[in-house]
Amino acid sequence: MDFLSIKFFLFFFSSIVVIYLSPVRYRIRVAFPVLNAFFILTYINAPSQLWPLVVFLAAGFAGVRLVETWANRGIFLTALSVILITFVYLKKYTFISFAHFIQWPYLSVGLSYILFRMVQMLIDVYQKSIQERISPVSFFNFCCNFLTFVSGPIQRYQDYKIQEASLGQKALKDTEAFDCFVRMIHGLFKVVILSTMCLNYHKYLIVSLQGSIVNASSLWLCRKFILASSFYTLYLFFNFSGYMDIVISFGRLLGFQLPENFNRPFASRSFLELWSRWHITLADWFKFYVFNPFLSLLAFRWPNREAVPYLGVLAYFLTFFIMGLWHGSSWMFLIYGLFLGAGVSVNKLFDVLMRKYFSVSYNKMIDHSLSGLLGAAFTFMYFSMGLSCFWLDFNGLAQLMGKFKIQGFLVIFVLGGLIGAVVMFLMGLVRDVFDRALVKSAVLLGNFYFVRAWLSFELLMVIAFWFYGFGEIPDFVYKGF
Amino acid sequence: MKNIFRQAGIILGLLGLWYLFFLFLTYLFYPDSGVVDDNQAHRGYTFTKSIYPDGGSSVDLGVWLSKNAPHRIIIIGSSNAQGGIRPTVLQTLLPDFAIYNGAIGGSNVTQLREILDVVRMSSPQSMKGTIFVAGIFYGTFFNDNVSGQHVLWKNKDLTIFQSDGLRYGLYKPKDNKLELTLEPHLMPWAVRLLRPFLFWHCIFVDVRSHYVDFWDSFHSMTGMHEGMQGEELKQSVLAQWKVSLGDIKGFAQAQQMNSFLELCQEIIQSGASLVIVDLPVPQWVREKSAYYKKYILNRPLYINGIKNIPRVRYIDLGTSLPGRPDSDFSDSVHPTKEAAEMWSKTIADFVVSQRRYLGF
Repeated sequence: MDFLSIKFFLFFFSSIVVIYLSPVRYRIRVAFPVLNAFFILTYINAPSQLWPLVVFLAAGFAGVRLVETWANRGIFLTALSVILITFVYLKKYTFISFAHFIQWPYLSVGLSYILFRMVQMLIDVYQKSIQERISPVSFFNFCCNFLTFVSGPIQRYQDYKIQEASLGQKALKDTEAFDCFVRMIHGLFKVVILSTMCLNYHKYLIVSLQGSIVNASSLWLCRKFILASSFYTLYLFFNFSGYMDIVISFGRLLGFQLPENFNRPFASRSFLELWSRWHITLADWFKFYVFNPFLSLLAFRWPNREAVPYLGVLAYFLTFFIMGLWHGSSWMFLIYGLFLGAGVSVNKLFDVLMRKYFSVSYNKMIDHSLSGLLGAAFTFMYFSMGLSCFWLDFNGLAQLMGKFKIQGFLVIFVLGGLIGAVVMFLMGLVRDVFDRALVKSAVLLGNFYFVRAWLSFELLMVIAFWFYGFGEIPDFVYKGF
Repeated sequence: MKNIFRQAGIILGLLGLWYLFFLFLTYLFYPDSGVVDDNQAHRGYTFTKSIYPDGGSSVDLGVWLSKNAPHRIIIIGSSNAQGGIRPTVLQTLLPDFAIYNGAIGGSNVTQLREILDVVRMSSPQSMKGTIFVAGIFYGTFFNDNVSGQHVLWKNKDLTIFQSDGLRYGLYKPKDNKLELTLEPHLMPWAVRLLRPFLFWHCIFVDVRSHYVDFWDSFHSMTGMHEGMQGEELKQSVLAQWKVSLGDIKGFAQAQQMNSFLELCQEIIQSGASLVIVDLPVPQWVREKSAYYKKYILNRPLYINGIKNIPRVRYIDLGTSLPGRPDSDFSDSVHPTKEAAEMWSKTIADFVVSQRRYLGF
């Protein structure tokens, strides 16, 4: 079921009725799993499409149950390997193209996010961070929660259990319910209007870019590439953060407090900082379950106190390389992983060296309005260039490499960063004016009918644009991961 | 739960009030009358506009509101027909006709047929009072499967015309065509009820075209050839056309010519009349484009064919306006505003001179 469909909204408001009206003792054990199962079933046309997901979940549950029963290193590693191999097989990663893949079409939506949940459960059960015995229903509800099934946010099981207990329990006040609708409609505005506009413009740019790489002048290509990559980043942000707004507000209406995934990411002044603001739950997951174990392992292997910062650089590279690889099954995501890994590790190395030789941290360096602005602009540009792996194919990238060479990409990075700094500076001025206007309009913004009328107008815009959209509103981009 | 549904109810109620407010506004500012011209959409009574970067029109809606005009001229063709045949100019010489420019950027013969299908579906009884003005040129005769055109006029498996038609739920796809979801007599009312959304559609398109224009001002397709001049520029433009029109082997063959001829016959069989306008291209294109030369070579296939069909007239605008300079064109195909006025006047004069033959 598409999130942006009348069917989903009807399903969601029906689920509110089901959850709030069902007896408390059946709410989590019966009503919620039925809703989750119903949601998943809407994605399939034949039972055969469901089997791979069922097998994946069964493998995960069996692994968790075995590790629960025998907290044995061998069993843990075997269960982890089985889950990872099943995932790689079901996602048809290019590097195992020799394998005999399942030939019929099957449901692959949500697999990546289920992987995170199952691996987290497995590790935490093994490390005794989860003490309780996980029931099949809890396992299913956690892995297949319809709110987070498609694209997260990624929650830890322990946090989920606390939230599950409050499902449908709290009677929301008028203002709380209204705040949820505000966020939901803002989310729709981002997805339907802003992300569509950015994607359409991005498409408009790449139509001419793709057909003209060989013929066009380098300067023209350079401008096109900067714009195309920047607008793709904006599209991704509006699409994904808008989706999060919708999901989080839905969750709150049901009594769930889902974790936030975005916190003004384009204010990040370094590539490292970006990952504490962009797709936060993914970055946190990798920090807990990949970076920390890697660093511990490396520090155990080379127990030299002075080497720890450099080992951190290596651990960052490996973590973000894997994170990039997770995003897709083609070779382009290998490049994306290398790009992410290079970005964070160079950023970290620079910080280590600055501390060592100049006794000043990177954060201190950029703690100035101009350097901070430049840091934010160059972070945005670097990230945007990396994200071109999402929209360029291998041939396109090879053609661009042939045209630009490495030095050409450096020019793009510097030029794009400087242009970005000017744009961000101007946007800062506009935001100041806007903030001042908001303060002056406080009385109006506090009026019951004015805010609701404004919100319904925003909704009208969303519906109108929904019709207007370029044939279709883009799907949630992370649905494909 | 009560509070959740109460808040939802308040927001939906206010949404309904906004809808009524905008419906009222559209009738206040855009009454159902006037010239139907997608390039002057805000003055037309459908005020629907192009959603495509290269132009196009919401023909699928406009035809339902123009169906009751006793005499009408419907212009079909590509973006050079959309910009080059001006309804306002035609209107001065043909005041008793409602004139509707329904050309869509990037059209080939398939897309011209789609417009005919919807016009025929909307008003079978009005076809006798209709003259189609088909503005064609060599670029009309490319194959449906040309990848360079794919993004421009196809979205997944639908042509942009079909995507546009499906937007408001008034049509559904069937056998690669559009089919009505409502009874024909309800369609004009459904279109009227969509007015607030058409109004916003129009505004979105304005905003879109402004921001595209803004960016275009420093990185347009012309900008792609930046720094190029003379022969290098021309060769680069011709290379772009090659991408748009596909392999020359499959271009403007007997198959496309026959397909166009069949379209002409269908128009006549529907009861309408047809004026085919062969639109001019710059001299340097005529000299250098292999596609143009192939079209000229194969053009007699349809020109000879239409001689046997009644109520069809053909005019080669390049021959009717001899010796015009290349400065008539803003690029390799589109006329300047002044040239468009001249083209339109010539076409209007031609239609006036052929009225009797065309059945009017």
